[in-house]
Amino acid sequence: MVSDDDQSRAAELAEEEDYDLLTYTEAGLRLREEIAQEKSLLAASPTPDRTRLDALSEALERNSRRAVNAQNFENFFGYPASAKQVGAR
Amino acid sequence: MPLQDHHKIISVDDHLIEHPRVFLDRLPEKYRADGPQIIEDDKGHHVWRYEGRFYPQIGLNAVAGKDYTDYGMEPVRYEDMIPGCYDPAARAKDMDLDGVQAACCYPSFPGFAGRTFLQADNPALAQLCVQAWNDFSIDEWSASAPDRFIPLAMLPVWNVIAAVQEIHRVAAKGAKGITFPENPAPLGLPSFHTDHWDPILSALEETGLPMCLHFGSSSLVPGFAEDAPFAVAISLYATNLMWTTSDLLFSGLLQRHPKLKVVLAEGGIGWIPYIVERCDYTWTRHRWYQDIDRDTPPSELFRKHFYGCFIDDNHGLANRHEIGIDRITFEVDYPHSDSNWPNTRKRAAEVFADVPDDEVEMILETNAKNLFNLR
Repeated sequence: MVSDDDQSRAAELAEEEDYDLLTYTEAGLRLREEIAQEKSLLAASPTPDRTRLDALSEALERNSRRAVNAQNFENFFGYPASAKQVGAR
Repeated sequence: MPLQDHHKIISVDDHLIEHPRVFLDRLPEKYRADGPQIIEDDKGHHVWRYEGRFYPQIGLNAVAGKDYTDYGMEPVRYEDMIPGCYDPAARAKDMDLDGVQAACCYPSFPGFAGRTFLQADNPALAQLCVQAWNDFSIDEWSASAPDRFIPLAMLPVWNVIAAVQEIHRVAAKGAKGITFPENPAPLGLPSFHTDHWDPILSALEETGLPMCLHFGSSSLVPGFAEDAPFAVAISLYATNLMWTTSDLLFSGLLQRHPKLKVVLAEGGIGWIPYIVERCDYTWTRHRWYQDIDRDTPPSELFRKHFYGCFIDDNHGLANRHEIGIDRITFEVDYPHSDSNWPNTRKRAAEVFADVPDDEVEMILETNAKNLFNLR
């Protein structure tokens, strides 16, 4: 039995072309699921501790920023963005 | 009590994605054009170009002879990967969130044990690429946080003399393990049943470095049907390590190298009691008419030389005493989909719920420290 959650997760991942790596989409899905679960636990706790929630939120923010961008392209790849090395089919 | 806060998780099997300058920054000028470099194909994918051939960033560890476009999993762009894949500082932060203290990271583009370089046209360039990857692994990736990363190195396995020299070179600069093909035979190399590898194994004994065999690194894809979905091969990859275990136990190699340590990486542990029992049974009935050791039962050799590891293996953990508590280690497999990131610690607490404290500590931490000679 495939749940609605599973179906929406599959639909989101189908937008991507690799399924064996922590891409921004996969990492974001995992972190948002965990954050939602942690918030539920905190809401039900008489002595809520936000440490884990804060760490998850920081990780989501950190893993939402695109680390490779136009500004650091040349330094990262070793050649300028304007000279894309097209070579494979 | 199960997992405690003071238990530190050491992953014996994670992966890194090489950033685009790993080889560019290290190869001599005359080799850079033919050496590995990232290019963008006409679909906008980032692929490695090496000696005119193309490879995806995540490596094709198990599909020798196939073009990456036939593999079914298209490569991604660096912009699509979270930085923890290729940036050790970001990786350490992701490990903090995951509750993981340290990780040993296998290569991606070169294959888990350097198969790409073995199959290259120019052995001189290939050897420089091996050295470049090892220098990157030790001096850049692991040196960024020495208490968080366990430096791994690969060998130019096509040249035993050069491989021995490389073992001593990387040991001197801090490597803690050597990744080696899970089985040399499928790669067209001499098998474990020859004395071809003895100089390498002696060098591993001298330096105390374990031989790390990651499943899939021999290029053998398990399964009978070529039209089977890839899920069949994924579910069967651990059986490659069963073949290798039996090969090693009956090779005589372990008797010639009594200090050799063997790591079976990413294969899980549930199958170990069966194959060791089966090898003992075979040895009991069939050793008299074959050229194999007649004095040492395979189970004794296993308990002395091998380490297994697992991500999520309830069956294996239930049978941990059959395997040997001191033979079991833990793995995370970040950044692959099999990993439980960011919930490794949470999942470990569930998995170890019924395991005594001292055994948890051995499996998560102290066995790996002994294996890699960590302080």
